[in-house]
Amino acid sequence: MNARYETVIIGSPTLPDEEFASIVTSLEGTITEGGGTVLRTEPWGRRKLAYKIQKFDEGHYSLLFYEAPAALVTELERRIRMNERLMRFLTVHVDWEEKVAKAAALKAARVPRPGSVTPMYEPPDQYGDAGDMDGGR
Amino acid sequence: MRQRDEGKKPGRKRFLFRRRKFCKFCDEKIAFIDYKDAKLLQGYVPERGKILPRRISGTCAAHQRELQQAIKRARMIALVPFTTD
Repeated sequence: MNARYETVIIGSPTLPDEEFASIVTSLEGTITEGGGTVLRTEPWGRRKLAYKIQKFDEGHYSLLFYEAPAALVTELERRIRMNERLMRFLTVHVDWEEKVAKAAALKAARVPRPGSVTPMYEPPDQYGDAGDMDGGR
Repeated sequence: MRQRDEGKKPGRKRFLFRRRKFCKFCDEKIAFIDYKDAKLLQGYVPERGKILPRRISGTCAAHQRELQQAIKRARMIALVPFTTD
């Protein structure tokens, strides 16, 4: 089964916006051709860098969220490395979707504790889990 | 209800009222710490760019580990600094 990955790429600020966009599109092409599926791309636009990269303090950011076999990730990274106009990239295996779904489900299906009497008025639960001295870890 | 404030007793002599530290991530029930959330991470890298220790922030061990991972990732894509000089 193909796993989900996220790749953030940073393009040189000397590139015009359209050119950076076309690089992103070509990378998307690599993914689709290689047997993966692009689930989402997020253009973050021009962002200030926290530190200088190749003497630039700005960069074009974009994020690709996709499903792909492991070999394709290597290929994609190889292409990114070859492209001199891309200054930096980071690929991360997306392993938090379950956690997010679980948290959402928990929130949706919050059952009152057994034996607890439903009060007439329920104060807003501003501290999260009530009645837990240790913070409900 | 969790005790958040200490030194509630009026007669107690204390020079500094220190709030009890608690893990922000447990408290807010944050599902996971996203390395892309620069605003959130910024709060855990003070001026020098170092990762804020647990003893200061009060973050629980599990979340500190997750936070550490997120900060390190964010550093790679220049969302958070390695150092400042």
